[in-house]
Amino acid sequence: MASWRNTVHSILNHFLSPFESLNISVNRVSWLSLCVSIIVSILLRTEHAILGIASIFIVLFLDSLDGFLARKRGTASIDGFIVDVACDRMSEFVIFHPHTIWTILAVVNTYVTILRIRYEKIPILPLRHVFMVITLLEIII
Amino acid sequence: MDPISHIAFSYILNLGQGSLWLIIGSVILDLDKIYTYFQRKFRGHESRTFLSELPFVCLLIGLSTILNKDFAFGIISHYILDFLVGETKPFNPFQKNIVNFNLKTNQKIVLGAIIWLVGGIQYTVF
Repeated sequence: MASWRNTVHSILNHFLSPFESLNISVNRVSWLSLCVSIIVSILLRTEHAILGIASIFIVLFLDSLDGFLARKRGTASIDGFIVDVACDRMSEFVIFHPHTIWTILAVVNTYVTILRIRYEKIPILPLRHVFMVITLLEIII
Repeated sequence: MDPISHIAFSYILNLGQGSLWLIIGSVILDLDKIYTYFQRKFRGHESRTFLSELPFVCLLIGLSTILNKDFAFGIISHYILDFLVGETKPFNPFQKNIVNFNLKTNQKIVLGAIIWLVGGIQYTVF
């Protein structure tokens, strides 16, 4: 699990390194990702699916960026982690509305996150990634 | 944020489709303020109990998504607005860390005014 995580981090570092010098606080990036999630929710419910998917991509990018910046600046902490995961869970709820199954999965993911805060080895479900892929497939097919 | 801002915010996010359940959902999380008010805790995370935080709120969202989606969305919009603007303990009672994005008071006032304005325009024009 650790080696897999290291591989993902090294790939992300490669893509995110141009943003290393951004003059923005890590928590503000998380805040921004939640704000973009609200826009995603509006776009998906007004049937602008392509724009919605593109915006989910921005949300996921910002979600990766906050962790990357925290690691690079040496400011990674449990407080920052909690801000990050709380933003992620809120983001899931607003993006998945009004899909019942996805919302219930987001509820499950919230409790998985609570366990993850205590036990580091428990993985959080990448629901928005899966949602993005499935929505994209629905459009293509 | 005040109840009117919560109602207006949920109304905006619900694309101008208001209902009684949406209004109830968007204010119901503040019911615990009655308890904290009598405890003389009026501001920030002190004025919130675990009933307005994610572990309980997500159960409420899950249940109400099955029963009434407008009610669920009211709750979601309420929590998001509180989370973005105020001071919360998102995983209370399991984790007591405080989250605050340090928005200045004048920024909060401007944001509240924008929400009132946009909600009002949406209600009257569309």
